[in-house]
Amino acid sequence: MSQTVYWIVTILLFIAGVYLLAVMERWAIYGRFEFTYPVKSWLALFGQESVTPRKMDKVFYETAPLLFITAALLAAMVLPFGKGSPAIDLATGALFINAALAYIMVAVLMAGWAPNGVYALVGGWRFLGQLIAYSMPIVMAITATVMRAESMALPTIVDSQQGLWNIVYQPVGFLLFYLSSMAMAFLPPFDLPVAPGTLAGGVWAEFTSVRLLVFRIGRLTLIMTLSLATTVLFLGGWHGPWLPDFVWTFLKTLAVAASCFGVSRFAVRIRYDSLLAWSWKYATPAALFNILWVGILLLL
Amino acid sequence: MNYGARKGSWDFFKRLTARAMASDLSIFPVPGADVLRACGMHFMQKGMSIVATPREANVLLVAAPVTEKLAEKAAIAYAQMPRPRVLVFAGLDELPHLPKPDVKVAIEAENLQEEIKKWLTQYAWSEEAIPFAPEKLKKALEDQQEGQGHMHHDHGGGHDHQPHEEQGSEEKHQEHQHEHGSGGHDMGGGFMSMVAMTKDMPRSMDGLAMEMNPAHFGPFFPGLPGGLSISVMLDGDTVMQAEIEKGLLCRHLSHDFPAVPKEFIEHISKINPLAPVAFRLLAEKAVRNILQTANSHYKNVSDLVLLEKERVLCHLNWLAVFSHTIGNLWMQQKAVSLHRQYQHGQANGKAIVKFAEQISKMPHLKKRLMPVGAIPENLLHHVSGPVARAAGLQKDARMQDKTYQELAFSPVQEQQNNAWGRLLVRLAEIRQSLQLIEKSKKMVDTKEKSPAITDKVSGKGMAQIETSAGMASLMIHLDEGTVKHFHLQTPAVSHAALIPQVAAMQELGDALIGIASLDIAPWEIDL
Amino acid sequence: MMICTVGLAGMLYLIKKSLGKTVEEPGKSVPAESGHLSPKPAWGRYHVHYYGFALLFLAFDMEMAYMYPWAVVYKELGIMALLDMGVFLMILFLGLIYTWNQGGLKRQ
Repeated sequence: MSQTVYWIVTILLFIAGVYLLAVMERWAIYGRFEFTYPVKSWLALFGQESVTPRKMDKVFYETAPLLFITAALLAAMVLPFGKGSPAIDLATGALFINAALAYIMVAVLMAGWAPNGVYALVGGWRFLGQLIAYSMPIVMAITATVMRAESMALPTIVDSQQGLWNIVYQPVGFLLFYLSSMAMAFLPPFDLPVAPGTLAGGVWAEFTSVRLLVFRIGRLTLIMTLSLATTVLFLGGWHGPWLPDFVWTFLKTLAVAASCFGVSRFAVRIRYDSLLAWSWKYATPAALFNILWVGILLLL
Repeated sequence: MNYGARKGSWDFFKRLTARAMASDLSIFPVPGADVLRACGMHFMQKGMSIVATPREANVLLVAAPVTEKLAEKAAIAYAQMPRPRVLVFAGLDELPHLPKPDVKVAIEAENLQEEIKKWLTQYAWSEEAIPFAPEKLKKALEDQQEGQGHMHHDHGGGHDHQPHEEQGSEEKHQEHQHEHGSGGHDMGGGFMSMVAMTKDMPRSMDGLAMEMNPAHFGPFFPGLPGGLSISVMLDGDTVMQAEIEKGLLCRHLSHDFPAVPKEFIEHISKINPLAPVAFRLLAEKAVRNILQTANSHYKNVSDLVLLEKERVLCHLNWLAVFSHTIGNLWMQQKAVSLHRQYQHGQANGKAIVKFAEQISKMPHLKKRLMPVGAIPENLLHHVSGPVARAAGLQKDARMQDKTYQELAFSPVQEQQNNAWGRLLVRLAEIRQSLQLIEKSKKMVDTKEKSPAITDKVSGKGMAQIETSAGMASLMIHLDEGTVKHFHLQTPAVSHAALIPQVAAMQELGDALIGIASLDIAPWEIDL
Repeated sequence: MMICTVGLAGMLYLIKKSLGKTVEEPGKSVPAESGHLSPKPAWGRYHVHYYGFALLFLAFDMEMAYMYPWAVVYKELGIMALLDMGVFLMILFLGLIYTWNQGGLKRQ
């Protein structure tokens, strides 16, 4: 297959994935599948008037949604869908995902700060705390996969899982990565910055119309990206029998995302400070243990 | 409709978006989703959903009862909604502060969705759109600006968008200057000296100088019962002080009341829209006690069934609010749908019991709720209802009731003075109430007529009843068959008094969960 | 890529603009606070109750900069790499345990 076709297929698959994720998100809230819902609600947001809060920080306010979606897409760029990967093949891919996704926190914090309202402000600062909780485990889990592949290039990481997927090779790492990526995408139970029940919308509350639309699609993109990263790093990427490689990646990604929404439907919101305490008391030591575990396995 | 439409003329794309909006109605409920549910409006159907903030909504749905003060708050919420916005009154004709409704329906109307859709597709854009600027709102904004020295700009309508936004950054700048001025230079400490700058600031618990933020949660807050408004002082995200905002729901029920006992009973039943049956039965009982006529056994049993049914409904309704506060999507949806089914007499008890069991086994829930909402020991004697029974107090007005005694009733009890205990007690009570209803069906009896309350009697009557939130008691004074005065004690009053204790020094989420776990019906506080 | 994203978003904003201006009304620009006019600008010295964690995070985040290159060459260097990083991480880990021990791993 030529490179251009691969490009188009991947982009279309990614967009289809985001759309299906929107359907799943709706299911997580109302327990029913509405396949036309995303189109309707996105169009509806277009029609909405855009209200901007008084005494706000204009630069932050305008930048936050764009930065949010850009960060998610940047990270998606380096993640390979298939063998003849159309993604930018960076030698430091694993590090790059991390660097790009760090801006998610910046964007959310900016969105919390900009409107100059209490609900949003609390939500923004909460998310900074959340970052301190999720970022260590996520980084260390990625490191352990890099150790096995002896390379930070993502296609190499996928190749290293040929015989045995990382989910089996380093299950602790997978679990940490999975939960941390949910925290990064602030899906319930980690939906602290936007908690409808305690902050009535939180950081997103003052964003209306297209800005909110960019945020919403940005979040779905983020979940898609993170699920794709989970697939690439832990679920053997495109490896699988019978079907073409990119189909495998797509299916695995959707399955990861679906499981995220499944967890989020039945979970109870966690306090960010207990999240912090758990992260540092259990998750960080567990991540270190995971590195040690992989280290020993590699030397054997 | 001129207050709700966007300015402009129709074109193809606008029609498209309007149609999309019509099939995705986001409703901001006033006074609250729980009150609407009690009225039979659940919004479970496709294309309708309840949203947490007016910013996300395109429909403001107002349902009775709404007081004058509450209408003022609703007007603020309406003003903050982005257009196109539809103002819907359900079971109301007009309200102060708010404009004429775009759509008027009866409570529990079937055609609600249709009507709103029709409006949106017809009037979402209109050339006649004009700003909504009620005097009260303008004045409130002016007052606010006067109270804050350097914020002298006019933020009202009139000028267009661009200068408005720039103004924001300008003011930020001024603020910074202000900060420097009062701190660094005056004190003679080094420029921007931290010690000097923070000299006059309030201290947090750990001695750090921080600025506190006042904030309101309510009256239309999704994680709290509708109408309940809490004003808090936040230090970061810790609640330093919390108190209930009083007077919002004042309907003058304790001053203007009908003298005829029959109407008086109706009157009392209006006190709490979430529990009309309990209060009606309470009033009936009090009147009956004056007449000193016992009820027929049949009536007693049917009263019991009514009361217990309402208890199940109230607990489910509370669960729907509470699950929103703790952030569980599944529980929220299930509680709402079971509430609706049970209200329509469709749900079988088994589904509800199963639901209660599933909740009590939910992972992490216990650990999350155990540390939340403890009430100081020395204040425990003020509480009643599930809150008291969760703390291990055997307090229940039903124990004195003969009909309940016949059914071998004994109250549910837990030894957990926290949100988890309260959840468990309410879940167990749902089960118990369903059992009581089942058992009482078997009590065979002949139908008799209750004595009418027409005799011209005088005297004082006292009655107690166990509502879903706790014990309510009523004392009335009849003179020659007319009600002279009455005195009502409701559980919400004593529970609301605990809000400062339950919320103080807690993380915001915990504070709100603690308050929600008390099941305070604000309607019982401001009569 | 970034240009594409920003371009796409810009297009969205333009479409939005074509749908009409915002009608300015009193109270509309005040941040929503469930039916209240929020009383004052919220900006100020915000008390983050997790500063202890934040300090710890700084130490660990620095360490991650060394971890990546180490991870790439780990298999090549073998047991020496494990021991080297082991000693380094142990020191950091002791720091974590010390913080825990001193009650730093809770809400301040």
